[in-house]
Amino acid sequence: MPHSDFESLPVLGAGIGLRKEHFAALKKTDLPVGWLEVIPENFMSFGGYPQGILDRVASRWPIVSHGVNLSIGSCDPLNEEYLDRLKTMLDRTQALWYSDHLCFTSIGGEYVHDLLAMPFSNEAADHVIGRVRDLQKRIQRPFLLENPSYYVKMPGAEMEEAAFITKILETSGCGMLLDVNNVYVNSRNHGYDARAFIRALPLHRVGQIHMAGHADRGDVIIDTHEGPIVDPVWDLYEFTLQEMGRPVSTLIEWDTNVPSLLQVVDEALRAQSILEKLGHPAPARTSPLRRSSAQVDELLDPVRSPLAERREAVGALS
Amino acid sequence: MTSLKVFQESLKRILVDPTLTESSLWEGNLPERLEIYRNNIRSNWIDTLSHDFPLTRLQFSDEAWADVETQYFARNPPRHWELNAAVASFPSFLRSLKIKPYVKELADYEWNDLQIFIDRSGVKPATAARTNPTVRLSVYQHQIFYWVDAGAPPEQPPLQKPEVLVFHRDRRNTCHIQEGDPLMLMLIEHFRKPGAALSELEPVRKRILPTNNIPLNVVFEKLKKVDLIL
Repeated sequence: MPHSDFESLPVLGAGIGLRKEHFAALKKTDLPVGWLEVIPENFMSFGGYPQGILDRVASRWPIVSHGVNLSIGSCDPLNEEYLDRLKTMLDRTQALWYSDHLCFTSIGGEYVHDLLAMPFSNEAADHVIGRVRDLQKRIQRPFLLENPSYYVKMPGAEMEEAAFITKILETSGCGMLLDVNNVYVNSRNHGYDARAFIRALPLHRVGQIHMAGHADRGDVIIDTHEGPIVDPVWDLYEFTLQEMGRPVSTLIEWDTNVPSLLQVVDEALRAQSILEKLGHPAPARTSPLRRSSAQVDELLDPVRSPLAERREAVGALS
Repeated sequence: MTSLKVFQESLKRILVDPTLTESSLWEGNLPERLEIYRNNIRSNWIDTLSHDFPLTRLQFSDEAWADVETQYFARNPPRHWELNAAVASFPSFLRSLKIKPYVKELADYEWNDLQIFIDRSGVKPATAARTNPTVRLSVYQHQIFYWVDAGAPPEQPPLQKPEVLVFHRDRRNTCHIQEGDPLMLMLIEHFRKPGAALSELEPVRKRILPTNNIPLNVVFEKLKKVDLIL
């Protein structure tokens, strides 16, 4: 498949993000988890138990990878060590595609560990376009850029956000991970029409959708990936799918106060039911194994020392 | 118009310095909502520090800990994409401060504890005996092991008595921390060398531990059983 053909990416239905809070539950669940999205930074520096969990889930469910520190918009060179480890992880998990945010997270070799918005300028767009082309050669699989939430319009804008995104996607040839919650958050924070924004996007390039909760503080909404997805975001999701006229793999994201696996899967099933209206089949109750898990089973089921249990309780992954 | 590079560098200065209230980027006062970014960045950094050093954190008052955090990140801005790596220098940073020596040792202990959990080395059976690549040894001047076991209560400092602790992860991904004895440490160090053989060790033991007569093969098998030697 050519990497530019995002309408023909596999439609996986609704999936969930792999979070440490669900490691134990995922090892034995028969809940209909369609597929998993993995944050590579949470795994590619780690061996041991985290690596074992990743191998195990990758043997059972389709995996896609969603990064947070590629820093595609940064003026720093792309981090070679990061890319090497990323490629190794993508290959090891047979990730179907890889995505990250249209933003920058590093400046002058230092990482802020937050998604900083780009100015909507021609210089910024051209800068990202060149780096996306380089990246696509390196990772050898489809690459999607996500529209991030942002709280401040960065100075130097020469176009609207939708035009900025469109220019980058159409010129670089990459796909889009459309975060519907981010569209909602940005539309509220910056006072624009979310539906008009979605109509202005190159929807034929959308290969995945993100859905999440947020924190509404009245005068501002923070994209915390916390709490259930609110009805206006579900409405916007249905609108988006109708505009696209096709089902798209949809991911339920939780990052703060992550609830039980059951609750997250329940939200995924709601997304699935909306996808089914567009003809996407319901998931099987359990997914078939993609490859033998005998080798990875052998490595898992750790018995932790009391001190290690303390480590697990506080969580070693951020 | 400001170039992308200048914009990014200016924005970083603004975000890491909460005292700045104006910038030429916005031709005057900073937008109020930049504070969201400032908070996110600071929270992500400091949460990682408290998360990776939970018992060390207990040894400081809130005010003192906040001061330590600020000083640490001012001197050690994160240079890695992975947040845990951003706090790797924290134990050595603490060693430069005038604080109780056992708190410095505690931070080292907590870092070792995390490192063996996430060490990327494969712990697999070896054809030739070798030391488990996740093994880390630390010498402390205080009884950190038992103090940690009791939750490292600040009001009951550890006894001042030296100990050597051995940290490792076994083939089942279980992490272990134990006190090391001289013979164990000798074997661990010896089998770090590629191609090391047990028979080479007897003359060394006679020289270093002349009164010790425990059969080396018994200790060797014991260390193999717990995956300290593979």
